[in-house]
Amino acid sequence: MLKNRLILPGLIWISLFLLIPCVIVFTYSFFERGVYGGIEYSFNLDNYARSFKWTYFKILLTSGQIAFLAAFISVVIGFPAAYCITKANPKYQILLLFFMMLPFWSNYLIRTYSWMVLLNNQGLINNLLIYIGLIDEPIRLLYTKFSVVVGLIYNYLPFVILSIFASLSSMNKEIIEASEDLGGSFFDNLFRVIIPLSLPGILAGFIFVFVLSIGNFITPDLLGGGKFLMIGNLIYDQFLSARDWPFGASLSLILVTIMLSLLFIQSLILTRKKL
Amino acid sequence: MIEVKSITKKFGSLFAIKDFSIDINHGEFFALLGPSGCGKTTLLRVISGFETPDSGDIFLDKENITNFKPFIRPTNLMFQSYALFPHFNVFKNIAYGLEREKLKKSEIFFRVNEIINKTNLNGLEQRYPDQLSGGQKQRVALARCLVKKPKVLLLDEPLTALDKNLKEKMKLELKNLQKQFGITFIMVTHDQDEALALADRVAVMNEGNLIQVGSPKEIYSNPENFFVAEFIGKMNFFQKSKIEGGNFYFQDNSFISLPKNNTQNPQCVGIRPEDILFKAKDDSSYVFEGKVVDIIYHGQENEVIINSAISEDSILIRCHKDQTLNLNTNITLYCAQQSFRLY
Amino acid sequence: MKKIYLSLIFCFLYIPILTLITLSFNKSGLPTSWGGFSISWYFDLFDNQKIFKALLNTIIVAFFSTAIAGLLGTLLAMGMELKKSNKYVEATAFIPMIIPDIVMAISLLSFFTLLQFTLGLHSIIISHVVFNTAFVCAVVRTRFKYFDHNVIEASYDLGGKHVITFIKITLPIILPGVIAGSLLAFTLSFDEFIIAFFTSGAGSSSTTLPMLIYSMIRFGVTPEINALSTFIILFSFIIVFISQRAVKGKLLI
Repeated sequence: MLKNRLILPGLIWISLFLLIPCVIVFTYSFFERGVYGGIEYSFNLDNYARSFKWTYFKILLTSGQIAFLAAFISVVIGFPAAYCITKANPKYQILLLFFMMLPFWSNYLIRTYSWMVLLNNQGLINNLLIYIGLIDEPIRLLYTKFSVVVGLIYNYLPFVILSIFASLSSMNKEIIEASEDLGGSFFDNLFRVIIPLSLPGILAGFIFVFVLSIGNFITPDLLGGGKFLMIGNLIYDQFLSARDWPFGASLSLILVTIMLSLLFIQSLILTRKKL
Repeated sequence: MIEVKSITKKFGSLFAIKDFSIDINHGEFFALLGPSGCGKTTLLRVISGFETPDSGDIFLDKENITNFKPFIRPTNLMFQSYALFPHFNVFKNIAYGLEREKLKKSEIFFRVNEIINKTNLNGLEQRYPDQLSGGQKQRVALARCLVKKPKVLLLDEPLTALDKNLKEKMKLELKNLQKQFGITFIMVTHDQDEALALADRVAVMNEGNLIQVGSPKEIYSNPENFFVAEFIGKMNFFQKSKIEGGNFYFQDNSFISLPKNNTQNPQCVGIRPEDILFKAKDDSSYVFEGKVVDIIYHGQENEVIINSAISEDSILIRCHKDQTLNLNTNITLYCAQQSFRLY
Repeated sequence: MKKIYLSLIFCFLYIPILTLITLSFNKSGLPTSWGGFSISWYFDLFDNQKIFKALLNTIIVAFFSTAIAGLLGTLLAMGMELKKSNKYVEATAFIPMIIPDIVMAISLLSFFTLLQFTLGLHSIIISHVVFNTAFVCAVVRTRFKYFDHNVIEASYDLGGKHVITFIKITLPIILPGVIAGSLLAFTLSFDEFIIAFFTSGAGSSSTTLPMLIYSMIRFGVTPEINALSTFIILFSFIIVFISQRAVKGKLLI
């Protein structure tokens, strides 16, 4: 009946203010930067060729590397945490999850800033390490790949825990009992039964962190020290300083393509699992 | 009172109802009976206004209501899932329909309380749907419809979700309410026990078509075709070995004579289990031998499975608990030739 | 064993936040030395006009984008849940949630520049509505999972026309989802930095709080920022508590 009219306003708004702008950017990527920073409309693929040059390609690889580390470590840390929560008293489970998610709700910039405070040379962690005598001088923790990875993990860990928890708690407990009954040790149960069965949640968490990390701007900018560590920083720079919008557009397109491919692969794996 | 004329409804390329026509009388308890997918629910939704037919008309008291929207039709539908408003208590759920008629508060109050009395919902007015049992929810759903005094009440599988004891109770309640209010009830069900027990008339449907319509007695005693014979009650079917000289031959070459004016070419004959007897009676014109292979106890009336040379399939007969039968004994069985139906 | 591990995780999650909160009360304002308990930084915060202007701007943007997105998102969710939606609608409602915010930011900037659209708070609002609609839609849709679609037909059957049915039946039932979705949208808009940064245009009249915080962090860290951070952290926690109570149905009926 009027169902079609219901979805129209929302769809039109998103199409007009997101889909069309994206198409515009997509087309820009095939043009060139004009002399004064505008756009010269001559179709070519120079921008894409340029992005494969080592200076830029290196950034792409670094982004992938950082995103991968963040996702991997989040999952490795998050899985035991989610597991512990499933074993906790059901009364407290929701409370635990709630407090785990709470930091996630505060401002992203502020959460990232807090790690700047902790990690800088006069920061808490260095002071602590000097105090207990592990080191004599402050070590460089901030403005490194390390600090960016830590920042990313900090921001996305709660989500990973939640996702894995959802997967674990919906698992049929009797399957684990069956494994024990048939002679499985703790590690057998874990690696042969629990992890494979909770793979959807683990995979969702991993890809969630990876996708959000690779396109991230704020964390590499603040914790990476303003260097062009990741694609996000590079795109930002193209649009604000270098004023090479077409090149920035091509980088954006590459980023989005990577993301969509990952999401596509994820959906493929999940449908395979169901079969 | 309700005339369904040549209603056809398609979903995509699939015909849910094909050229369906039926007349339903005022004050009647009418059942639409058939297996899943036969189109009975679709027909109910067409009558209540939630589906528009591709062709055909519906008349209510001579008025063409085919294109009327649900909110103006003088019909009300009791949903299979009850569809109670979860955020309203029992009283407000029932009052909702009357509020839409813009009646005075005092009248609404009076009528809602009246119906609460009649449907045994006293004391539950302030409760919310998630605090009610299955039977209570159903009574609220019924009350919500009845309070509006519709010309026709439509019921979508009203007893399917209930457990056995509750079902028996609700059958009686439904029958009583219908008599009390005198409203025409049209019920959809796939359960023939419900249909035969409650309805004044039953329409058997299959694949969108009307197969047979009649009183429960007519449908049971005189199923017109193979589908109805098989669907309603239990029936023993015997495949022919041949038809010759006006006689139907069984597998062991015994035969019964076909009626003189028979024009059909029957593939099989059917006979109800209760028409196969242990003792000869005056009209027992067909006799055959069999062996008892299984007895299924139900208490008072038991079922007995017989193997016989007249058929490849087992034969089902009934026996009272006082009649003694032993496994693996041979037995002689008697039936009247008129009890056989040709299909 | 499990308790130890969980405690470690909680430490990891909360120590950064607690550090900032503690620092905001540190007279010396430095993480290296404790100068005594003081709330002077909070007073400095209140004297800062720029912060209040930015806060006001942020509230305006969050409020209007939430209001518009709340409406569009709820309608979108209803349309998608009550009638089967096709792949294109699903994709369109999903894309704003996963697209990297930097890509969304530059796309919007390019779009507005192409149209020679003047930038300001209004362009930020328009931009925020895009992703807020998607999130509101997603949250409201979850509410529909517990929704017996038949109640809408029951309402029609009992004489309620479309608008009445929406107001009296559909909306009250999905309201907790609408409220939760709106609170989520408000928070997202309130915290959002990069899209606001790109679509606010030149001039400081349309600076939002996140933009101000970013420049404070990047270009000149003063200890006021710890006090500001503490406020924002507490504010977001309050919003979460309200949201929880709303979803639990305290605001229902």
